[in-house]
Amino acid sequence: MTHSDLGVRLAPWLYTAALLILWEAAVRVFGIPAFFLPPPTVIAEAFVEFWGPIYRNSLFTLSTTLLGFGMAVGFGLLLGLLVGWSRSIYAGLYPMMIGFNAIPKVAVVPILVLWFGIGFIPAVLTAFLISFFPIVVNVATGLATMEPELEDVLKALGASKLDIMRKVGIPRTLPYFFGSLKIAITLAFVGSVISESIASNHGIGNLMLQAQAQFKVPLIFAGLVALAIEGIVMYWLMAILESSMTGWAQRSGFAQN
Amino acid sequence: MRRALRAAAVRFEAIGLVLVLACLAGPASAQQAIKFSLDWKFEGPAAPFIVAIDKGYFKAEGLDVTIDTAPGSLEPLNRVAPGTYDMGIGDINSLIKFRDANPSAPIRAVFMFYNKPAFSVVARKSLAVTKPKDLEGRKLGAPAADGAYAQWPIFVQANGIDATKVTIENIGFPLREPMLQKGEVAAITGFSFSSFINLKSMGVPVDDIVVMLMADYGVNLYGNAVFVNPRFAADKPEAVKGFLRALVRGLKDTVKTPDTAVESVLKRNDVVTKPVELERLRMAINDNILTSEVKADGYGSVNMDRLAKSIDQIALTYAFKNGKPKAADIFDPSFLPPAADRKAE
Repeated sequence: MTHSDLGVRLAPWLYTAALLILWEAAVRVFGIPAFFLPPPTVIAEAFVEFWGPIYRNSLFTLSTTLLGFGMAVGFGLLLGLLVGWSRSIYAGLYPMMIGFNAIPKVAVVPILVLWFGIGFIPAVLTAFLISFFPIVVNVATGLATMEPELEDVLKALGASKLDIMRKVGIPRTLPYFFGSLKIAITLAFVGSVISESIASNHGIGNLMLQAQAQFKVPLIFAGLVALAIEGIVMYWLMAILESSMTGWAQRSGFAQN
Repeated sequence: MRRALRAAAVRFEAIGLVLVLACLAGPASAQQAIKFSLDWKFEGPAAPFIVAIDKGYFKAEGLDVTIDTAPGSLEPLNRVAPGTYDMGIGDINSLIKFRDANPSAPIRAVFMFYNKPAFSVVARKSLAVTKPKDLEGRKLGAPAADGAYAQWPIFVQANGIDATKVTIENIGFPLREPMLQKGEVAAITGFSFSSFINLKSMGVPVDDIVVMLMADYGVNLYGNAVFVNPRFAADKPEAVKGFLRALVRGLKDTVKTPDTAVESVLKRNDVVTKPVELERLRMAINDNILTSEVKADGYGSVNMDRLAKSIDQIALTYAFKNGKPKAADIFDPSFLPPAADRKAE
């Protein structure tokens, strides 16, 4: 391991530590009250004090998020391939999808709750609704950016449209697809937490709402930290998945070392 | 030449006069800005505050007041404590708990708005809930940030409900009445004039709606009060006094002619209708604002004994970490206009 490798490995920890120290110092120097912005040490105390509820609710949020995300992956991949398959499907579905994506999910949750009740299902569906769009767009873009010359050559060699899709189109969209997963997983967390904070008895969103009603600001921040940790871990898993599945596609030297 | 000089002199004098006038007008026109947080949306019961703006009562006190809405009676505390807002209106009982949780932010109430709180449990006869005990074994829809739900532990205790048998469903405000209408929950917590009127305007028959006003079921608390950021109160006591003088004028106008007062609300909220908001406002005035205590003592003040007893009742279900607070430390009557000016006609 070279010197600069070590630097890169330590960088996330050093930067995070620097942020926390700055934060702690700013709160103490300026005498900011804890109900406005609690310092990291106070948040850590809340984290320890309420570890049980934070742990339980984190698991709930993680499960709704992952389920919604899983649905988004399946549905997004299928729809993306469908949209990328033909120009007319693309033209027909795209405006609808954009319109759908533009709808604020906060406004959708009450409707979902009226249909499915509160708690688990609306959280899963909101996570799904908010995260499938980037997957569809990326998969469709991957197919759409296939060079027509390549397609022509393959056709001339006797390949059917399905062959081209299977042998060239899908592999080619994979880097786009796995790239979109990183965006989609973080969005999925946003979706499930929105839903939990509107109508649920469980989950980090509900925990933060209860904490707010009890004026426990450090606990609200502890909830945010729990969410951030879950988000980082899932993002990191997606990044590993990406590099192990499509490492062949990453040949550029940018942002790699 | 001479004429030109004279003209110049006149012009000079004119400029001087303008400058002098500007200086004189300066301090008078420099209005004190106040950011005020409501406890809810722009709906009927907010009329007294908005009327005071529209009729220029705040301006007459040298105040430039901006009023923002809030999602519930607890949120204004979070806004006023750090000084993001200078003043606000919210649940005084939650203020008492907030003070205990955050001793470094001594916000005090200065004006009692809902002398009899509107906190209630609203149910439907057709769902077989007509009294508190009926809630056992049923689902209660309650937004976490709801001022009425904040008093639920006291309601439970005062009515001998087995709380372990009641399922609390945490639902957001926009979902509360629709879920009761659908029968997904058997009852909800809410302010009487919010939930009752909402259900009624959604088409639930009036004789099917059961409003259990907590104040009629052993919950002896005060309701929403105007409170002030402590630093603002110390730095600008005159502004706080001016605000309350103007508010009393707005309140008197609203009580006298609710029909015109509600127009101020309609101007700021496109999605409400006049008959609904007028009925809501009338309900708030009759049930919560114009009580016999207010008729005797005037708008805004509290009876310190009654406040102390309400703190005792809060202590039955809430463990004070920093000792039970004194009523005089919660409510500061020193900013109120003289009693003669606050009289409810």
